[in-house]
Amino acid sequence: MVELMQAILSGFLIGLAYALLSVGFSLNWGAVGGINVSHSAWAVFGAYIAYFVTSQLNLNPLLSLVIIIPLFFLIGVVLNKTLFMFLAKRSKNIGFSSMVLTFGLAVALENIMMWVFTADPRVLKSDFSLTSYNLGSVYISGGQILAALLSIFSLGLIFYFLYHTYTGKAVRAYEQEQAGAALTGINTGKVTSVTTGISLASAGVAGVALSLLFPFEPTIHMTWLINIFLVVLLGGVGNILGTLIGGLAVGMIITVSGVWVPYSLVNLVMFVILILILIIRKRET
Amino acid sequence: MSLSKKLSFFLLAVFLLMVVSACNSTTSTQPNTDEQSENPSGTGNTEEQGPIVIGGTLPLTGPFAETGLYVKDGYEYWVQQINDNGGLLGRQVELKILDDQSDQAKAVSLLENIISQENVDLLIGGYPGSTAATQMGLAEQHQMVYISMGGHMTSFNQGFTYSFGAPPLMGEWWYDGVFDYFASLPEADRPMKAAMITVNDPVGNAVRTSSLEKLEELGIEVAVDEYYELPLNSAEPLVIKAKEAGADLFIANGYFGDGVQTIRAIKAVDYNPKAVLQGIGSLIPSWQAELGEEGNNVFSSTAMHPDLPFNGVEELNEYSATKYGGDAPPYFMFGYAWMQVLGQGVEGAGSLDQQAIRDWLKSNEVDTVGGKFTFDEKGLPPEYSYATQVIDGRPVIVWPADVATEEPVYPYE
Repeated sequence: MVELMQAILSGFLIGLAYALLSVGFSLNWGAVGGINVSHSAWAVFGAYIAYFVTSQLNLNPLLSLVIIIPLFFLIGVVLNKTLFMFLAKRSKNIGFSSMVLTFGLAVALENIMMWVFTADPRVLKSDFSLTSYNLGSVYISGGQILAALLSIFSLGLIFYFLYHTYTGKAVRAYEQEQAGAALTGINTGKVTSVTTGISLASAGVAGVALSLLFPFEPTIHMTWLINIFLVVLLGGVGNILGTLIGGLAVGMIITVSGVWVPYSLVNLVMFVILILILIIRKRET
Repeated sequence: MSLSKKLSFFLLAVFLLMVVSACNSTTSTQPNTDEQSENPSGTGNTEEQGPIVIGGTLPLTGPFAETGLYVKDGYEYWVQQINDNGGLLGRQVELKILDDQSDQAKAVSLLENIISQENVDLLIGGYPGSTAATQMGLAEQHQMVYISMGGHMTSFNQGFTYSFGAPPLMGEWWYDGVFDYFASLPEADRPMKAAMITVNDPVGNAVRTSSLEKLEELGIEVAVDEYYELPLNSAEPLVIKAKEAGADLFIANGYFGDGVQTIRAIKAVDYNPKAVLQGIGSLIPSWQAELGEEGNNVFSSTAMHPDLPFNGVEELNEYSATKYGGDAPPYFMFGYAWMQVLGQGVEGAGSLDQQAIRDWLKSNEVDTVGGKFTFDEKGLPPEYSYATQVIDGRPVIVWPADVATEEPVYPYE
């Protein structure tokens, strides 16, 4: 019973971080149509910034967000103004072409990080990461709490932006019907830039959250990317609430299934469940 | 978006992920073909014959590059020393190490090229174990002596006669030193019940198999025995399982990332076993640099260490203090030791004849920075390992007593 409760708690915490990691990817795919497979590489870059803010400046990792959010938003806007808009004009299939293009970007970013930060694995540690709290018979570390709070707050902020601000509503309108949105006077260039900016900024924030949970090194983004695809396929492209549910589902499946099946089979269980969900959803539609 | 489109994108993404691993190792270093060995016999006028060329591959770029570069430094330092002292068989030694980019297939094809096209006089081993294991077969095919860490016991069970683990790094021997230490304790003080988690790969499997045998020998019950896949998403459920089972010995057969998660989970869930054994992760410098106090008092094992009281270690440490700013890194020492064995084999045989070198090594003792070794028909020295423990941020030898530099911290704090 204790094992199950601990697995549920761990799965919930990991799931929140995966949901945050995936939300920007999903939003960009849904609204702009671009599949940015470099998303997770940017998240790793965000993790490095948090790491150096903590280890070199001896500051709380959350303070790295002061750098990460504006910087990554700006990079997202620049990426949209250059790569994605260029692709939208030239390519008939922006999904496929953006995937290939950003794949190159991911490899380049990984190589730069490898060169600058080396291949040494890093662990974000500070006073709170050594502290753990007892919730009855289960335990939670300070790092996990911080990652969970950061994820919940960031997801809530994105949700609020999309559903309660004019620009956010414009993003949703553009996602649902691009031509119709343009006809109503929505500045589509601005909408796609904002979407890509928010997407990349959320990747950076997710990198900070994940650095509180896992050790990382430049190549880890490929593993994170697989989880992003799983979450987005489960939750639905462009669906914020679905992404949250998808993230929690992936987290829970990974940890809870390990209580009943050998731990080495949890990935198998996860993919079987994913296939079943996709089949059931296909029949329903 | 339709299901088929989603799946197409997913499959494409997976394909691209597979491609990237190949891309990561495509920074090429072309073989240097301007220097050829002129006479592999090792006889006649040494000036006319030119240098003895020792060839091999190492991962100088890619995921294994950090360690590969240490090995290369070890090779180069030995070559520098031997040349300064008049060379091998009176001839200067030249090293021809090609970059296999951490790609096992490339390492094999490059070694084939080194043997068949470059006509090197001698081979020296590759790294890591998976690469060494495949190159051992190639060296056997060409009947050339091949000295390396090997690829665990399976690679030495292939019937190869030209390969030597000198010294080897054997998963099957991994915790020998630690279990020997437990055996030295009064029975009441030993751990009674073990929980073991193992990364599901050949290295993890080799360590797990031998650990099970040792646990049985010591009469320690195995309460938990779980495999996991990398990356490890969460260590808490596994650690809780061990805690709930009442295991007072926790064995984590894994690497750095999963090892860090495991140690953090142990601290997080307030699990207090008598001892924690952590496979490979706790030996790399990042363990101390990144974990700090959290990583202390974890047991592991090694076959090479800068504190060993053997000939030449002190000199390597002095050299390393200038080069690396600290003690000799173990893989630098491994590289140096493999070269020492090769050099002693050549000098002992008195020629570059591969069969003569092999036969000499099989029937004589060699003296290296890793100790003195003799080799059996498999090319292995007698089974050994040194128990290490991270004490005050540094992995030190704690067992056997004759080479230990610190008392073990037991029980685990």
